[in-house]
Order: sequence, then C-alpha cells, then structure tokens
Amino acid sequence: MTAFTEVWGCGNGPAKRAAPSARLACGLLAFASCSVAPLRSPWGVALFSGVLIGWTAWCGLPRRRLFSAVRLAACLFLPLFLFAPCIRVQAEAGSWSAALRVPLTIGLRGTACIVVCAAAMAALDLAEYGQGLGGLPFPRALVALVVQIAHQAALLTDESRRTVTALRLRGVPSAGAVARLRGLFSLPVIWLLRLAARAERVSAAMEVRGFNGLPPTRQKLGMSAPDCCATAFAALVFGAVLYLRWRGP
Amino acid sequence: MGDALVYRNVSVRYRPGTPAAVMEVSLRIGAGERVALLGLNGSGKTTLLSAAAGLLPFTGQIEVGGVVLSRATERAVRDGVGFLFSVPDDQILFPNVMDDVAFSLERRGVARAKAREKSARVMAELGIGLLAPLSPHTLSQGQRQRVALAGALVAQPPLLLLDEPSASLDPVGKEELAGLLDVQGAAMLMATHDLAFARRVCRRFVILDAGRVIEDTQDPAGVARYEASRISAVRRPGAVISGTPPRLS
Repeated sequence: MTAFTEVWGCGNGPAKRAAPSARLACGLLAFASCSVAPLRSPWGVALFSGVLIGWTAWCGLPRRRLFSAVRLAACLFLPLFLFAPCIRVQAEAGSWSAALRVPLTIGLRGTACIVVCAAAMAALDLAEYGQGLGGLPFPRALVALVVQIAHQAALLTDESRRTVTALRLRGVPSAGAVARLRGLFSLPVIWLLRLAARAERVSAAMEVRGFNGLPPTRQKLGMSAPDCCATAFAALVFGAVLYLRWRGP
Repeated sequence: MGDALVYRNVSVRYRPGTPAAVMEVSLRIGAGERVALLGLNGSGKTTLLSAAAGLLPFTGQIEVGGVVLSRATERAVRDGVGFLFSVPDDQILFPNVMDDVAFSLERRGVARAKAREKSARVMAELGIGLLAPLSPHTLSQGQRQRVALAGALVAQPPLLLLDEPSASLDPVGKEELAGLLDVQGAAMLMATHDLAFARRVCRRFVILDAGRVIEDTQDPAGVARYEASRISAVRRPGAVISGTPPRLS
C-alpha cells in the first residue's frame, strides 16, 4: 500500500524550482485545459496532448506513479465501454463508432485529469501544497477546508497502512479463506472506530488551540518573474483551448 | 502571586451511571510551580488535565489563573494554557511545521512576521529549527512531539498542561526537554509514567489512584516507594490490585 505522503512531492522535474503558488496555478490551468479541450479538432487534440505531456514532464512525474495513475483511470473508465451497446441503440445514427466515441472521450478526459492531478501532487509536497493554496486568491475558508482534508487524509492513510501491516503481520492473508474474510469484514469496523476516536481527539485539540477553521492570516503570493511567466504561459494555453472550444470544429 | 490552577472537589464522569473517572479532587498549583501527576493507567491523569482545559464536563470548580472555568470563560482560560496531547499527531493542525507553531501566536493577534520569527527561535531552542519548512508527515514521532511542544510553548502561557511529554523522546531528547522546561516560568501540571523525568523536572508529585489523589508529596523517594509497592503487588501470584494503597510518606 502506497503511503499518501509518498505520492506528494515525489517528482523531480523543473517545476520544483517554481513557487508553490505558481505550480498550483499552472496545475489548475492544465486540469481545466484537459477538461475542455475539443477532441474532435486536430488543434484541440494537439493542445490536449501537449498540455498533458508538457505538464507531466515539467513536474517530473515518476514512471511508476504515472502507471499507477493510468491503472486507476483504467479501472474507473474502462467499464464505461460496457454502455456502448445502449448508447448505440439510443444514438440517432446508430453506428458503433458514434457509440464508442462517448466512453472514449470521457475516458480520455478522465485519464488526462487524473494524470494531471498525479503530476501536480508529485510537484508539491504537503507543506508546499498548503503554502501554495494559501498564496492563491481563494476564499480563506475554502483554503482551510482543502488543506485540512489533505492533512487529515495523510494521517488517516498512515493509520490505515499501519492497520494493514498489522493484519499482514498477524497472518491474516496467509490464514484460511474464512479467517481472511473475517479479517476483511472487520477492517471497516476497526477503521471507523479509529476514525471516530481520532476525530474526537483532533476536535479537542482544535478547541484547545483555538482553531476556528480559518488560517489566521493570508500568505503572500511570493511569485518571481519566471513563476509569473510560467503561469502566464499556462493561462495562454488555456485561453487557446477555450478559443478552439468556442470557435467550434 | 496567585495560584495558576485550582481544582476544588472536581469530579468527572464520562457517562451517567458509570463510576467517576476523577473523584472529588482538590489541588492547588501555585504560579511557576511544577507538579508531576503520577499514577497507573486509567487512574484519571489525562482526565484531570482535559478538565482543566474545559474539554470535559465536570462537577466542582476549576480556576485557571484566577478565572473560574465555565462555558463563558473557557476561551479566555484556553488562551492562558499550553496543552500538549499524548498523541502529537492530533494537535498538529497544519501541513507545514512553521505554520503550525506560528498559529499559536497568530491566533492571539501577533503579526505574521513576528510570529514566525518567535516560532523560529523556539524551534531552534527545541532543536527542530531545520524542520520549519517541512511537512509534519515526514517527521519521526519524536520530532512531531517536539513540534507539538513548540506550539504549546511559543505563546508563553502561564500554565502548561503536559500529557506524557517525554513519551516519544530518546534519552538525549528527554534531557533537552527537561532543560527547556526548567527555564520556563510557567506553572506546569505534567501527567507522566516516566518517574526519572518527573523527578528531573518537577518538585512536587501528586499520585492518583482510581480517580482520587492518594498522595501529594515533595519527596521523590515516596513516589519510588509507591511504584515499588504496586509492582510487588502485581508480582505476587494471584494478586489483584484493589483498594487504596497505604500512605507511604
């Protein structure tokens, strides 16, 4: 089981030299570009592929993480092809190519978005993620919420990892099928109980430390000239994607 | 100078109808006084600390820095308390060490730059100055303990409530922590099982047993005798620990 924290900041691309806010802004623009790029025009496909490859390379997403992201996307989107016969029946033309285009487009966009997110996570560690988000002009409450989700998710995945390790060490995977099943079914109960206990302790700590859900002050943007150039370039690409989308094929 | 913390006939019951976790405890801790709270697992040490921070409902009266703890005053009371939880992960609320430590000051209205400057100083004193830009998820348990402690100490509260502060520290870390606590002017109530550490830091020892104070002494030898009596009771074949142990001082 991969630790949540191991995924963050594992990249080794040039993006590491940019300010966290610039990396996040570029990531958001790359995500938006992949989401809306028109896949029926050659220019749209070129921009879609360019953004995906360029962003992944800039972040230095390790090959192992790239394959993991693609595997996850395959698990999520390949089942959509099972709906192709239904789409064919309902489509006006009734051709297989038209029916297959729908799950293919969803799958391509979804896979691209997952890879863009994985690359963004590789370019930022959790500390930089909080800093970067705090430096962008988002509402403070939203920033606090998203940062807390990432922070607590990291703690919970660490705890889940320890639980899985304990199950392994106690011989659950090598036990008989019934014992394995019992171990598997008891896992959510253990996990939920731990989750509830942790939630209680964290809320007590928040009360004592006076945390009301908002970071006390906004951080400065802190972008240098190259950071601004990178963000402007990402915005330009997104602008081009939007132009192609509105102009039509 | 007045008392830093006063318990008057304090009882805490987690659920109605169950035995009280803390029963009729009366305790007075003077300003700057350092008191170790000792006792077996489940004797009510953490409960007593949590009640003083307003985290648990109680009967009786608790006074912190001359302010009687109630719903209306709990915020003001918490401003004057530095609390260290036994599990540091629970109280680290930000994905960046510096942000987390500085938060204790920023929420008290200290300007961001000044808060970070002071936090850096305290972290340097605790030997974690180099960890400032990191994410707490990348730290060892002992380092996380120090980060949590830095968050409690940085605001220089007049009262420190420490739950197992030396639990995750190596011998060098314990000695450093003891040295650091030595120079704090704050009153301290420290729940611990580490007798050597308690003797190093505190001058007064309060022993809890089944929720009651059974000993309040300044004689470290009395504490050692108490521990020895409990251990020898367990070693007797078929022995059951019950009732209140005899006064030993």
